[in-house]
Amino acid sequence: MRTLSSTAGHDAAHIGAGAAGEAHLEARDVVIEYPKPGSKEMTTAVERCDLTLDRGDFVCLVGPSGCGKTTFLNAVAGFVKIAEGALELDGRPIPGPGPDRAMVFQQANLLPWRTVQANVSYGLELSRKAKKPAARQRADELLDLVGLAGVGQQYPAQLSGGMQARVNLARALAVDPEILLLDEPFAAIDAQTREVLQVELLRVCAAREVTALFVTHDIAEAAFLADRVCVFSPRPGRIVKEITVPWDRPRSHEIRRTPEFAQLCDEIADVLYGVKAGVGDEKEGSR
Amino acid sequence: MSATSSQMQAPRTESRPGAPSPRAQRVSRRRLPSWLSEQRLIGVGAVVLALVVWEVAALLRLKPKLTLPGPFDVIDAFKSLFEAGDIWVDLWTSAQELLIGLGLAVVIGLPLGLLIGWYKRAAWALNPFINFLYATPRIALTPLLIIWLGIGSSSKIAIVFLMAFFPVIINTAQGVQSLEQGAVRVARCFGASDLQLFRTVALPGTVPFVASGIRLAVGQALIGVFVAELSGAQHGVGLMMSTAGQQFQTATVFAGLFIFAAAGIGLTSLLRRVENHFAAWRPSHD
Repeated sequence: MRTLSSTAGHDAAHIGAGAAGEAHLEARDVVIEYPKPGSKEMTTAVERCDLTLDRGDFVCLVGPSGCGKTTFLNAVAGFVKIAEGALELDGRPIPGPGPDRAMVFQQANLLPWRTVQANVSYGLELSRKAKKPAARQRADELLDLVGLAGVGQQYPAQLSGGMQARVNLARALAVDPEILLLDEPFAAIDAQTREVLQVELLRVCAAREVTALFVTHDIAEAAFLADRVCVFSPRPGRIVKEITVPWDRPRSHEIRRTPEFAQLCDEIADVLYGVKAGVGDEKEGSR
Repeated sequence: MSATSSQMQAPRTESRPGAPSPRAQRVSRRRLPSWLSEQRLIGVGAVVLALVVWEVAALLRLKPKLTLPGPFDVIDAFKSLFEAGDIWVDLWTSAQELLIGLGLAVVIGLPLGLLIGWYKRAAWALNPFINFLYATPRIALTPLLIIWLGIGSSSKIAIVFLMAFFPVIINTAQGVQSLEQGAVRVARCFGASDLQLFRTVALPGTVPFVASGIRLAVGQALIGVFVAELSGAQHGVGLMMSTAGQQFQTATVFAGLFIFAAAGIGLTSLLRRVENHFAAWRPSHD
């Protein structure tokens, strides 16, 4: 899988940055506000959020719906501006959307008039990083990586939801992003397929040394995927607890059946629902 | 179930060489989906029935032949029209007015539609004019246009253009405005520039809307041709019909009507083909 010549240079950079001990993505006291509809008052969506990701980290953000975890992800993607604090990628503030941060959306949002192959190479085409034949070849390699070899010439409407989610992932990986942002990418997919896709995602991330920030409301999903799980409070969202997951990645389905996994899920749930029930003063203690 | 369907199948398979064994029937059904041929059959049957009713009504002479000619009279009228040869000038004139007017409507309406769909300010500036002209029965501008442009082709082209322009511009603008935001976000996420977003998302996403706009425009353009020629022209199928009407050549009026209908159906089905070609990605066309 790792035969693409263009990734070789990147890997060297990865190692270099890692050795310097510099955080890859760093959020310090991030506050995000947005205007209430129909008035000039501001609502705080994210309050004093601290988060650090090193290269190769896989971090999941879990929290009740509407807690601002997706808003935070959108800020990293560059769709939303932060009101206070610092949000830096490799020490530089995030300027706006860019192909160094690829987003995997909940809806696959594939362009229906493009073939699957052309959808995967779409990001490359926009950034003019690769010539057309090279982009096509790369798209085919990524389709192969996500287990969709041979469907490149089909149109998205001909694919199942699970297959579309794979294309969605391949499209994000095609631009060789610094960091992969995933916004509940498997939420609209049936439970069985979702578990398969989770394993696949970990395999793909391991194969390409991807740094990932993954938003979900599914506790088991977070526990299965992440190196660290950050639990958000209800709005205004802040990270109330960061839980480290003990297993190495990639992982297999067997982990799900271990008592430790159940324990981990319980731990996350306790924080999540404890917060939900209004135990607000847990905030400083658990930090 | 299978018994009834094979009974229904029987009339069509009879003409095939050899006895229609059940297997052969299944093969023939696979090649020609049964709903398609049934649809055709019913459609053609209904048309034939209508023609027969029309002919019978004409033969019964409920109305004098002068007012209600039968289908065969219309065919005779067609014959004499083409034998006299004047029809060619009329056809050529009307076709020119139709196609040039329609072409201008697309060439001007499409970019303008994209513009007002894409840029809010362009929409704010142009919407008053569009709303005014759209609400006005544009055909009422005919006298004005004839005063300005004369009774030659140019006034007719202007009317056809005015009729066809609005469906094109409005549909195109609507197509751009109703683009799927998810697709726009994906493009933005990859750092697409405005131009790239336009070229890779807005333009292809608008195609179905543009196509249906043009199809609507064909109908409007045909109205334009006819009415424009009524109110003063030198040649044209519409003029031919009105002259024939004044002389009580009812069969010739019918012939003109069918020419208009044929033009409409021909253009519309041509456009549908183009539409299907561009929308190959839509599952319903598979």
